[in-house]
Amino acid sequence: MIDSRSLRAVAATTALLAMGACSDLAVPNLNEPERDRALASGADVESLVSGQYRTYWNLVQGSGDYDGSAAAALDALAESIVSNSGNDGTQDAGNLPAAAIPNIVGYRWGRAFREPWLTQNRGLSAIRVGLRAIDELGLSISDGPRLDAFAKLMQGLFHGQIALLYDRGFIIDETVEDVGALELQPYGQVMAAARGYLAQARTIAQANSFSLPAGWLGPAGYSSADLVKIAHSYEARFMASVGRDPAERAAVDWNGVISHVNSGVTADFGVQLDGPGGIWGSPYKARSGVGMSIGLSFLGPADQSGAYIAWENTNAADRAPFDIDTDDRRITDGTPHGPGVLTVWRNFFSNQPERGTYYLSNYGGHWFFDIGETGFGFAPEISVQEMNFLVAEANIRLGDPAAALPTINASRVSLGHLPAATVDGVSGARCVPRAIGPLGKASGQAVGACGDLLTTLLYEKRLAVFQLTAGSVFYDSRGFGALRTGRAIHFAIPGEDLQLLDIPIYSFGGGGPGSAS
Amino acid sequence: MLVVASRAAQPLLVSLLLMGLAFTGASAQQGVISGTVTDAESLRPLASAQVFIGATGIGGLTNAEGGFILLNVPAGQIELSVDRLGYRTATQVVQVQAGGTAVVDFAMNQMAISMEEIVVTGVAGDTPRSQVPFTVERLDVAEMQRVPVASVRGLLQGKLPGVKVIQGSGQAGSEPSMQFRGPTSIMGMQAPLVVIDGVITQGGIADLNTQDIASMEVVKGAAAAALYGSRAQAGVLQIITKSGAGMAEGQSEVTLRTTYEENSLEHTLGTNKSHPWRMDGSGNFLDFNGSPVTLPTRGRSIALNDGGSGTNGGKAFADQQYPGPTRDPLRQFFDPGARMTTNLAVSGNANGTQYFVSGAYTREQGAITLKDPMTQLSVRLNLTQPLAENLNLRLTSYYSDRTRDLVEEQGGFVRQLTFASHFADLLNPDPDEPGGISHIGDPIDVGNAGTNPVNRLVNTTIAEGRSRFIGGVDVRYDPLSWLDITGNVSFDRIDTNESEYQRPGLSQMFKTAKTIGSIREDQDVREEFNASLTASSNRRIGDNFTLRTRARWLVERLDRSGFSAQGTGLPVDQVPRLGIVTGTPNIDSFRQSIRSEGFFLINQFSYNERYVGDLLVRRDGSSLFGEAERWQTYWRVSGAWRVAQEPWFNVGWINELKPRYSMGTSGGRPSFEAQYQTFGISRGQIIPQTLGNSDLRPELATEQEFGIDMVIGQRLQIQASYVDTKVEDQLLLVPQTSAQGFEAQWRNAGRVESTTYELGLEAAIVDNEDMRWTARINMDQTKSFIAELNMPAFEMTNPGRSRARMAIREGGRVGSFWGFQFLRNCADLASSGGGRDCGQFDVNDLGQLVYVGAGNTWQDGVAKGLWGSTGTVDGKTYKWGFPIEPDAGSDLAFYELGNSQPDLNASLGQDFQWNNFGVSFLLDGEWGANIYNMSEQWQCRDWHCAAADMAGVEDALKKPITFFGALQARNQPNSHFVESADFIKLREVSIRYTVPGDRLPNALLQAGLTQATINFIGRNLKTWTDYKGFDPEVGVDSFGGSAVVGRVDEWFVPNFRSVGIDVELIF
Repeated sequence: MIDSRSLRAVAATTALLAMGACSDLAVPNLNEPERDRALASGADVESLVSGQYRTYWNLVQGSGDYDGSAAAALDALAESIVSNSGNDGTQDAGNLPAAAIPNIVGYRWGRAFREPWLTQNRGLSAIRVGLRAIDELGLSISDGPRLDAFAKLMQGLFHGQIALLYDRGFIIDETVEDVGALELQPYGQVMAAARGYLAQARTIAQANSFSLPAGWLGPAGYSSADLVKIAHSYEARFMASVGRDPAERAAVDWNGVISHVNSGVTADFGVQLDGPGGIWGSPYKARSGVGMSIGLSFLGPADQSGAYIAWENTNAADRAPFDIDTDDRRITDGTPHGPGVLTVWRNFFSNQPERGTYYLSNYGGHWFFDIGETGFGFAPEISVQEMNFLVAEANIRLGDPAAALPTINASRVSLGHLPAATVDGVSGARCVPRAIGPLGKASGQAVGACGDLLTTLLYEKRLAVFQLTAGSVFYDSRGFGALRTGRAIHFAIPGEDLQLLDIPIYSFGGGGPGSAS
Repeated sequence: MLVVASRAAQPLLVSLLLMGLAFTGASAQQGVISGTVTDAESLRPLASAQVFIGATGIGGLTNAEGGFILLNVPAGQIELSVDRLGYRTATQVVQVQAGGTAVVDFAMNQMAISMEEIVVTGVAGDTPRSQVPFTVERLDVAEMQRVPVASVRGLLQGKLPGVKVIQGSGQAGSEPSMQFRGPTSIMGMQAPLVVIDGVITQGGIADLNTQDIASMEVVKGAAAAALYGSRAQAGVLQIITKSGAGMAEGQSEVTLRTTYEENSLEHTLGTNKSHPWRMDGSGNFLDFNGSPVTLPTRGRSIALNDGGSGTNGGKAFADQQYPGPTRDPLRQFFDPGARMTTNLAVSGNANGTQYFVSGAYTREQGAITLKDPMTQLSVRLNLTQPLAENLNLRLTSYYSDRTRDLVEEQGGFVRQLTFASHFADLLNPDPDEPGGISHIGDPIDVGNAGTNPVNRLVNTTIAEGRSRFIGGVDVRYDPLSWLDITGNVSFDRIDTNESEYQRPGLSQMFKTAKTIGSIREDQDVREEFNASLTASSNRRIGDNFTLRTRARWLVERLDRSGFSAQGTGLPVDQVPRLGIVTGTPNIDSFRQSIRSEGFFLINQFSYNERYVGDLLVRRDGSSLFGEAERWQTYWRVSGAWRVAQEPWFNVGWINELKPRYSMGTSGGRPSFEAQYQTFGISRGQIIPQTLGNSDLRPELATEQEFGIDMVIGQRLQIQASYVDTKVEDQLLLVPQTSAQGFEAQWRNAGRVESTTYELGLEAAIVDNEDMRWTARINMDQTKSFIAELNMPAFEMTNPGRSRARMAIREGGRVGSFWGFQFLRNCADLASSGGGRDCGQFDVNDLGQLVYVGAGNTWQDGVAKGLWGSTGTVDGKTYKWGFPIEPDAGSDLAFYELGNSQPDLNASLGQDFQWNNFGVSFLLDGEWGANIYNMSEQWQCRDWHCAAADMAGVEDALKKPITFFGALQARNQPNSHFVESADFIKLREVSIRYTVPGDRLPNALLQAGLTQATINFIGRNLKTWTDYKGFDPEVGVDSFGGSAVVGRVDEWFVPNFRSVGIDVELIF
């Protein structure tokens, strides 16, 4: 017979099971919220939108894990750095003869070319979701104009960056009902849309007074007036940089560029880094002084020994590195291996010779050495120098070359200890730069000739904006025709997205479509 | 004399008594026979043995204590026999005195070949295997204890057809990956459901004490596992621990067992012992100007011995010996040390309470020198207690506590070791820190060899602590003779914490600043609670029909939570505390809960024990399923025909002939996050992540199993199965177009189909009282492919990394390596858009098409000075003698290079027992699988792979260092590093001697010792393989959670072999 105690045990077990069975099988996700919880208040929408600049900054600066930023690959395409490491796609981007950028599924280093596309489109979509949630969920925004202005700024930056990098793009904002029905637009139209958003941002900011909290545009806070300036400066950069070849660059509204620059930032805009493990981590540019080698074709136009001409005239597979003989004190101190202000000769190569001796260079950079060492310090994103060079270029293209000279000669004379350039460019037995290699190709001058003014401007600007932000040198090089023949002038839409869009996979570079002539 | 062991046994003995009376009738010339029946090997009493006297009809069954009593036995000489399933019939002649009692004890020997073992997994109740219409494999304690092993992995490897176990890492305490009958899921879990004494667990098997295990049952297919519903498409492994069951009242046994093993590496990843640098006659390395280089030096400041500028690696060969002492960095630091385990167990039966108590302590030196050994302490208490006449309680409990000093794998230390040359002395002292080790690695190649990995090893501590409690309580109530009701609650809790501490103030590569130090603390708590209520009936209907019915209702709750914090900037050394960090700490936590409930009904029937079958239906509800798909149904239909039991079957030497068929379904659950639409929040930033899916269903496996079981002459058992499986609704993380805003969405978007052939042969070559010699052969093959994929082909990305080597594509196989194929022939050249003039190409000794120029062969490179040159064919430039990559648009650019799944697994086990002496061994192998040797690929980057060693190689076969860099191909997955994984392993060897009680010294006998066994053991003693890595059993568990699928050799701590001695004392 069963005793009462046992009966109680059975009853308790049964009751326990019954209780368990009544449990609800709908379990919330307490780790990651769904939309209604993530965007439950206006503050949440502000968080969603205000976080987007960090996304943008990480991409264009290559912050944190470099894999996923196009910064290194763009430098490799422009040969401002040489690296035959597979990482970041630099070996594939910098190889000779120039080949098409791999755009196959499974390409090991595809993130460098894919991530900017994915991340920025997702950023745009996130802004769309956030702005639409305000109405759909009836949310209250503490400062509507501030949010709207910032959202438009970010829509401008994302679309603008996509237009710089890719041949096509989507135009995504809060008015889009169905993102699945969007069609790809040519980069020109995407850039036009970007400029439209930047204009809207300025309009809202000019009509309202607000403060952008710390964290929105880096650790520092900004005013609505600052936002207006920043938007102007970005637009000036975008306008000048979007051209894929000299013809498109020449066709830029240079008066408009000058106008935007004049309304833009008056001091360098960037981010104060907060150290290792920080939110605003050490960017790609910090590597310039640590592991990267500066390309010989980047520094070669300063060479007076003839070694660079010989190097260019040698079959790529047989090229050996050479020392640059130059009076430009930014590159050497006048001795073969003495350090310049910006570069330093090193008695080793970062790259493996077996992958191509044309990748070898003894030169490293000191542009951002300090932040590379510590992870702290100021990392500029838009510099006044960059803006000045845009105006200088505009002046030349608009027929007022003399107005460009102060900008061209500023660093050249004070740091480079070089003779000032004139409206005719540079001259003399040891002129810097010389029209050699890709830089010389842009000018159309005889090989080895002293650079004309536009060539000199490009040489000087390259030294000024080197690794300022992703593509600093690349965009100018393609617009000036100073990309080596066969280099890709922009990226294809990533193969993974093309598959999803049911579009055949394509690529650029290697002499085919989308290659520098 | 009638001995009653317990109140529970009384009815049985009374029955026996009555039976005896009924059959014999009263007579003055009668006597009594009583005695016990025990297992001859384990000495445990055997219940339910049939004791009988010839054809007299006098007989009965033994009780739970193995006791029997026969009344009214005719006086005189009687031939008494005892029979029991799985045992050889034993007979003794007994002299029965009228009015007297004869006492006879039997010690029965198990039959070497039997299908009468009782199984409990996947069926309606305790069922002989002969009555099961599908495959349920069973491993018993005797087989498992032959070679004592440290983990469940060792108990399974090579033992059963269709069971694959890979230990991806040799790091002590690492979790193995299991797979039954090939891959079932593309992105989901491949591992079977693990049930320990009825406790459903998800926490792994690496920390179980194998000495506690009595038996294991393996249910391999979806049909057989249908009972377990949505968690069982990959099969079920049930582990049954010892309980003291079967021990007689008052009997107890103490077992002390100690195992000591010495471990060592058999194979190592090959390395290049030679170098290509330019040197002078004094042994100095020279720079590009011919000047001696002071070591250590960074990067490539030393010129290459290329006969020219010193920069052309295309003309430099690694064929010179390093000056001074050299060493193999892999051999130097992979030193697996020893393992020692001591286990003390007590089992017995006291006042009806059956118990098993054990404690074990294991200490295992990791595979790397300079690290602390792993230690684990475990205790177990299992009890079975009658509460009342028809009420029993069973309790199982297990606690383990483990600490490990971890080594970074898949990068970090192991990776850096493979980059160091033989010239590097990684134990060089640090000039800045007394007693420290220099941060400079290879002195002639610091730029590429990087920071000295040993410096990081000794200055970084990664400590893991893990404790686990598994407990279960069953209360069984038998209200009727044919009905029992069982309530069960069970619990599995795992606490894991991991801390990482990097010291501050140490020198760094290429930086003047010192390390600032960092600290990380992670904690993870997982609790799984299950409860069930089961009603079981076992009824005989009429004379011929038996029906077993079981209905169960169960609930499950799995809660998991975790916390992590990390910070950088430690102002003082040797104070590993989060509170002192100067940087902004990064803190995170997570919490998740899974709730499920379900019920099943199974009817298992047998007609004349010849026609057997079952019907099963199960309903599962789970919070893991999408809102619209909360409940799912699984089922099974199966049947078998025991032909040899038919009256008309007169082939005497066939003892069992059982064709069988089963068809059923089971599932694979989505992960916790899969159904939710989520916005990630990182440091205050909200980021859309995954698009939700309320229609998400578990994967659905439908399996048909055709099989036949045979026993021939009681000496040979054959089990053969053909299995056809379709796993639909594959759970796939389908990428979204970037405009969608979300990265991906989990969808049911594919189907995997597979076929499996399994064959198990077990033979008793000799089986008598003195000698037993058995052999077992297992063979299996599974072919699976992706029959449907409603998404583009994509990479199986190793989370957080960029080293994926695996991808999936419709029509491809699960576990395939994808990448580019180096051109092999002229057809490849043409299809890849290359030159059409194939006359200027040749095929080298690696099977690669290479450019050689007109009139040359690939062996002319040195003789004609062609290495380092280029040539142009049809407008394309080729490097002389180098492997050629396909064009980006070619089919060869994304090509199925190989597959991790073998074409054939096979094993051969032999066990020989002669009286008290025993020998056994197990050979285990596989054929047809591939491994992606990423470790070697990265070695080749810096020509450190063994193949680049050109010392002593004849000129015609020499290849320059750059050739190997070209093979590395910027780390692109490619055909060269897909290697054959074929191997045969001498998995187990045992030579043992058991000292019987009567031969033990008196002193030991007086101490209570009844038996002593000494066992010389060897594990993984010899591996025959052409694989160039440490061990062909290697893999990454990031691909679908299984190293069996993800067989990428990615800088793991290697597996090792061991020899040792095991001593078991039984008191």
